[in-house]
Amino acid sequence: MSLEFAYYPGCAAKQVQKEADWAAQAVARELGIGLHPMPQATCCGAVSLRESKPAFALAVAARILSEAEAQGRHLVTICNTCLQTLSYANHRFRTEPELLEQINHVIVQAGVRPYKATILVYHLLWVITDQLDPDRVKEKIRRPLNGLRVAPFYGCHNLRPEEIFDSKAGEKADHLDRLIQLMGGTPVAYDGHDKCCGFHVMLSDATEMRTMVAKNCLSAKGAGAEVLITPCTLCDMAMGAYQKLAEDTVGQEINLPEMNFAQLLGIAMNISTETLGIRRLHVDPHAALAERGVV
Amino acid sequence: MRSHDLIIVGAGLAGMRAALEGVKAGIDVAIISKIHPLRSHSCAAQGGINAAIDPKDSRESHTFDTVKGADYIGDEDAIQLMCQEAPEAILEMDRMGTPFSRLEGGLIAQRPFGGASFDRTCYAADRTGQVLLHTLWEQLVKAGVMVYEECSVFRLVTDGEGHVSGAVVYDIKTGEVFPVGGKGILMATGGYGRVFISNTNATTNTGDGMALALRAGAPLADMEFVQFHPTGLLTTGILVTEGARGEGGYLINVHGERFMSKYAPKKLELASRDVVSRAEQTEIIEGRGKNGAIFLDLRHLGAEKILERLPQIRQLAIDLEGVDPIHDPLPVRPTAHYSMGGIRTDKLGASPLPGLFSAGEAACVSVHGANRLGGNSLLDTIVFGKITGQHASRYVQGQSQRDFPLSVLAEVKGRISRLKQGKGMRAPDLLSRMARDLNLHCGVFRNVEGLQEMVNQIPALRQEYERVSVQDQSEVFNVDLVRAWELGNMLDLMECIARGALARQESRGAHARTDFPNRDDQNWRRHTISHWDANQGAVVLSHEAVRTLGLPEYEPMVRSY
Amino acid sequence: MPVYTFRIQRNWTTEQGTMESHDRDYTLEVSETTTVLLALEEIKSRQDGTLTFRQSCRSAICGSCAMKISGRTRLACKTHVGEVAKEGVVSLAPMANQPILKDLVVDIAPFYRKVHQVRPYLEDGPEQAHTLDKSAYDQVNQVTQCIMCGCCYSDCTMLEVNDDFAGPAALAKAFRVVSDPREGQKTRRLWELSEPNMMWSCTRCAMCVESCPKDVKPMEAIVKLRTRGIAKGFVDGPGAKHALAFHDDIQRWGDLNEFTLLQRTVGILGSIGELGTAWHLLKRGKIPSPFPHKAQGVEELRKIYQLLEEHPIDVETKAKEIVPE
Repeated sequence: MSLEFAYYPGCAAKQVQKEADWAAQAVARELGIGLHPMPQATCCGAVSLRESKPAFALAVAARILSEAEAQGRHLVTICNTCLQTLSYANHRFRTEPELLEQINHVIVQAGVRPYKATILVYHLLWVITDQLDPDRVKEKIRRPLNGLRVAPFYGCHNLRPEEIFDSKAGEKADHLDRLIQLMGGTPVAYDGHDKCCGFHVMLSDATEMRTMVAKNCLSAKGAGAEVLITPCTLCDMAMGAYQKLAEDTVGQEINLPEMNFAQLLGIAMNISTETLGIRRLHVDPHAALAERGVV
Repeated sequence: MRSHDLIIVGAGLAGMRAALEGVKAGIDVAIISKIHPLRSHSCAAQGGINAAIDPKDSRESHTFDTVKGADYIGDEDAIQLMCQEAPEAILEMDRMGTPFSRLEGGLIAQRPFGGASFDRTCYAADRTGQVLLHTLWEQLVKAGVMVYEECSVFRLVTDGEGHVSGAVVYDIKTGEVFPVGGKGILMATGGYGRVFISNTNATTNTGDGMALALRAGAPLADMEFVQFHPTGLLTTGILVTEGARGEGGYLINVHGERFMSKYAPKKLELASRDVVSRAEQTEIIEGRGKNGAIFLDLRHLGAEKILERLPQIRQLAIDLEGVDPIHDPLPVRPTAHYSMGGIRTDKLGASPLPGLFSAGEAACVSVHGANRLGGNSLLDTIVFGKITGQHASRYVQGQSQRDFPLSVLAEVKGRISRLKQGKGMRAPDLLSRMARDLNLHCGVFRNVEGLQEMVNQIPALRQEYERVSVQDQSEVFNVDLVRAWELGNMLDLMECIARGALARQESRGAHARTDFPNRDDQNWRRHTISHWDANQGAVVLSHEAVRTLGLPEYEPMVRSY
Repeated sequence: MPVYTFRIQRNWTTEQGTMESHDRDYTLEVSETTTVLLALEEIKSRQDGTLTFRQSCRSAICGSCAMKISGRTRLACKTHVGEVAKEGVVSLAPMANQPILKDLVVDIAPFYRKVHQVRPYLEDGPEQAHTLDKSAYDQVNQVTQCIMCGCCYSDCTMLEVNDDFAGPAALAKAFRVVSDPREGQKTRRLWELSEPNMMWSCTRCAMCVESCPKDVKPMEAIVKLRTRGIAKGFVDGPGAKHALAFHDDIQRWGDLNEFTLLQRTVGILGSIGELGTAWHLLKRGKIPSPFPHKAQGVEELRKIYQLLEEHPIDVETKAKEIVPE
């Protein structure tokens, strides 16, 4: 299977969560995964665009998928919401040929290459855990996590709805758990692992969003987590950048180091913390990592 | 004391349809139901509801098919009324919001069903009962009808003159026992399928309303006629709709033969339910079944048709039987399904006990006679729910609240505490014993030895029941107690079924006596009536003539399909 | 046959009126394909008559037996023991987001109050259509599969933090009514659904889509309600504004402008309220640039947008348009 992909990091990774992009590129390079830029790709629109302009949302997705198709490469992203949005559109294009034809009819008029629905949409995490030989990943782990108790926070949009995804999803998904094991860590089982980070109601329902963050983090901490990782730049923002605000909202200290899965993988591969943007994290993981002798 | 003009017991299709008529009439109507209305077993009806809405069909043809299907023991005035009212009843449901399956152009679609000479079964995929139930519940909410939710009626109360005056209610949520006065009571409590060990029914189908009516002095009719549905899933008894055969499904034996060609050469799988169930049972008895089942084969319909028309059935088969009907035949067998008998009423739903009304499966009006046609039970609930609701509402408007002897409260409370102190068998064990025997002796085929054996056991079962024990001693949500109480109701009904079946020395509809294989119109074209004899502590029988219209086309003929 | 442990959360009211709770283990030898409900009935009949749960139809159509089974809310009657056992243990607890009455039984009244709140029935009015086409019912059919079991309500991540949220089932019911050609008050309903704690408070976590035992897909219904609300011009709330900001940005920049997204979602005053947050983010270099990167060929998108505005495509309902008579 080719390890060359059209790379679609998503808006957050281009702006506020740049460190996730840096880490993803760095670990991909180490693992021999080719991430090729998509210069024409725009924002996927998330569910919000589908809500305001459902047909336009599908056309935007078709244009993005079409660019990957033109490259002859499957698409890889590091944002759950981008993953879900593009997988949803792709699922419809594959199962509703008439719809694809209608959308193609429009995008062709705007000079876009028609989409033939041959592209698969992956998360970088899936490529690492499903398409690489686990031994090849293990080889690159130069600083194993020594049993560090890591809480996998899957988020929602790489799990549900199950039927649209090109990998195991729903309750069966175990990618993060497997990755943690490959890195020499101990995956923590906890109630919040597949719940919502609240990112999408961050502005409209601020208190509720922060309560969600607090509950998820506290549930992980209660189960003994020393670090929490997510596969999503938006979950990172909620669970990391908003953790302090969540503490204020619920009036309880959390202080759970949170980072993107690629950052922790980068640390375990001994990639420089500068490259991984560790200093941009909101809860410093240094103490937790040092205690296990990882750094 | 709380009181209402009309109390409706049961919140399935018949009860809710009746309640809407109460609202329309401007009376104070309330529903008492032991489960939330949406949990009612009407939701499990899958296949559809009959009505002659196609201009090429006719209400007369529907009437004829029903009279014949009932094996000439249905009351013709009621059958005619039901078939007359059917099209309007369907259109009313449609206007209220039922999402019936439709044809291109928007007309309501219809499918073929057993025993019908025209494709007259309206449906909503394979969840017709569910969408009808939800539609009526929507209307109930809209009308703001008071519902005593999760409250069981433990006693039907009459005054000194034997007129209905209310009910003693047990609130399952709190354990509270309280009286509710009523000028009339309408029993819409459904059937009693749970008295058979193998049945398609919900665990709540314990026939409470029939037993309450019986003990209050109302007669029950035709209790020996129990429909065995030809396609209950082997392991759980859960129903597979007749719609599956309507859509073209085959019944095959273990050798892959479509055996119905031997038993009903013209209608094959779509013969009347009693005919198909007997054919299946014969195949099984003669060794052409497997593990006590034969097979429903849908494979030739193809995945697309199965997914569009029978999606729920497919899921049930996968969930409960581990078989995907797209790829493999489903193991099915005749399974107790529907009680043709019930509280005896006239065609307007009034019982001989003043102030007591009944509609739906709880009633015996009787439109189903000895065998109910598929698609007629939902129709029965909607049409007679409406008619009985109207009639009862009119009746209570001319009545005042009768005397409610509060001594019955203490009696009910005493009975509850005696149950809680019982030292004998637990109710689930006693029920299994009784229900297994009833299946064995009162099943698809019956004979004098088995039936006598069953009747002989009754005193012992009653004795055992007097000592029955309840483990849960709490007040809140004491299901253990409720089930023990319901068992008493089921015992009464079982006695009616067994005695009725023993007495009826002929084979008619669902009642198949191997020792009396023929129909005997001379002696037995009449209803069996069960009464409770308080002095004897037993059920006694009498008989009543069938209400006929005297039309030549409804004269009994040989019933072949 | 394998032996399973059923770890059941027992709940009861003490004489003082407080709620007590503890887990109790029962062991049972059953096949993997036995349903959880059958196992429960077996335990109640043979081991412990005090164990209490709701059930009725046994065939996933009455909606009585919803409970937390191994962490997720499911119907006990359609869940196989073997599918949910973790190392031989099946854990059972009452539904969440609702008050507990006893053992696995919850008080369903709050759930139904919210369903009643959306007026779950068709109403007369000016938008009623009588010409009925088969395709006009596709949307209704999807949602009328709902049996009001409450699985989605119990697993809803928003309800976990906000008791006032209407919840997935009620909103799916609202969608059932709004999408019915026979409904006469579609616009008024969409206006009411744009109020706080209604359709815009869903996080779109899709938990309800996964929990639903009848494939109702409540979140999909919520998304479609939002589209219809926006189309009717009910765009005053932050949720709708946020959604609108997306298509604005994508046309203009190709990418989201996270700098101005905030201001357009919560308004100038709201933005000032968020300043504390902004400062907190600024410390880690996390304030987005007001001049985002612009993708190549964004003019293509403007053209597509324009084409779709001129010749709209119905990608959601695909039903023939029905004109009220």
